[in-house]
Amino acid sequence: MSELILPAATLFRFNSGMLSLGLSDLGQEHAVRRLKDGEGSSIAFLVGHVTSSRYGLLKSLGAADGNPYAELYGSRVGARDGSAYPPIGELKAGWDEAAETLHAALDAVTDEEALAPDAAGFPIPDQTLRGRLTFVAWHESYHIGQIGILRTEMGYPSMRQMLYAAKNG
Amino acid sequence: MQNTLAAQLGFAKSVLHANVEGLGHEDSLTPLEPGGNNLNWVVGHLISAYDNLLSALGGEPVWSAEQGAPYKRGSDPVTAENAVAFDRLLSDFGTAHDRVLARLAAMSAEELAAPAPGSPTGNPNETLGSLAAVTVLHQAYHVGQTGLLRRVCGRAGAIR
Repeated sequence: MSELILPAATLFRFNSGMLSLGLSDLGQEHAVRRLKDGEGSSIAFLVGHVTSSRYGLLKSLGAADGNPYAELYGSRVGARDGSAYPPIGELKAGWDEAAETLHAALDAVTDEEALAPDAAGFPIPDQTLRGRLTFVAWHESYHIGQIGILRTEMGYPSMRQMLYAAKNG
Repeated sequence: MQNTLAAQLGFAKSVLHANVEGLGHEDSLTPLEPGGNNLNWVVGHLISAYDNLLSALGGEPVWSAEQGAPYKRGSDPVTAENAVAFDRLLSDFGTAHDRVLARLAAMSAEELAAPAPGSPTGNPNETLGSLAAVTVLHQAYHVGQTGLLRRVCGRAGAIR
């Protein structure tokens, strides 16, 4: 792996593990619950959204042909009531699979590829693959934080507590 | 490394500003759920995290330990009785952000590879650089929460 993308790759790996843990104890009813007045994002939507974002990257890295999450969770799709979403266990499995593929793809990135111009057009100064990875990793963390607060507000342990529990066996 | 960290912290600052646009002190005390967390605590907690990093990096924290206590990890949501004025929080966040970026820019790779005085994740090999990276993650995570808290204040999401 190129050292140039190491900080972003580290963040991706951390996000992979943290979100997987944060979905491991979640009931379906809570996964599709939306904020006040039944509007806004549910955990299920957010998981689909960050997985869709990962598929966008995977396509750019040549590690995926399409994005099976784009229709329900793409960047221009808003949160829905959850009736069309697959069970949260299925979404977790999809996230874990995308994580494995992404980690392998990042391991193969060279310095030259990291500094190659990126055509995605994200609103960031560094218009290279490295810049895109930096932004997408941050974007994931942003949404995982939202999942974290939705969990705790519904009475689940924080993802930080989950991490410590997993670490300490 | 510093450039990547600074870019990610810059994302956090920009998105935070978008998420609090038009919100006042009363809004900042609106909980996600009754008795739950609020925007005021989250923004104060972002400052508290920056101050912890500044202390580790040899910089000057924005708050005293006493000022930061209501916003430390694990503290209860702040209330009208103990919350810092929201505009003051936003100003202090900006000061802390600028100080962190200045410290990071001034440090060499060797300095960032030095052991950190502690680790919020219990990492026995925590360096100042990895501590800064953990802080980036922490800030992104909590800035994400400000997006949801904006919506409970009745405002449309600022980030789509």
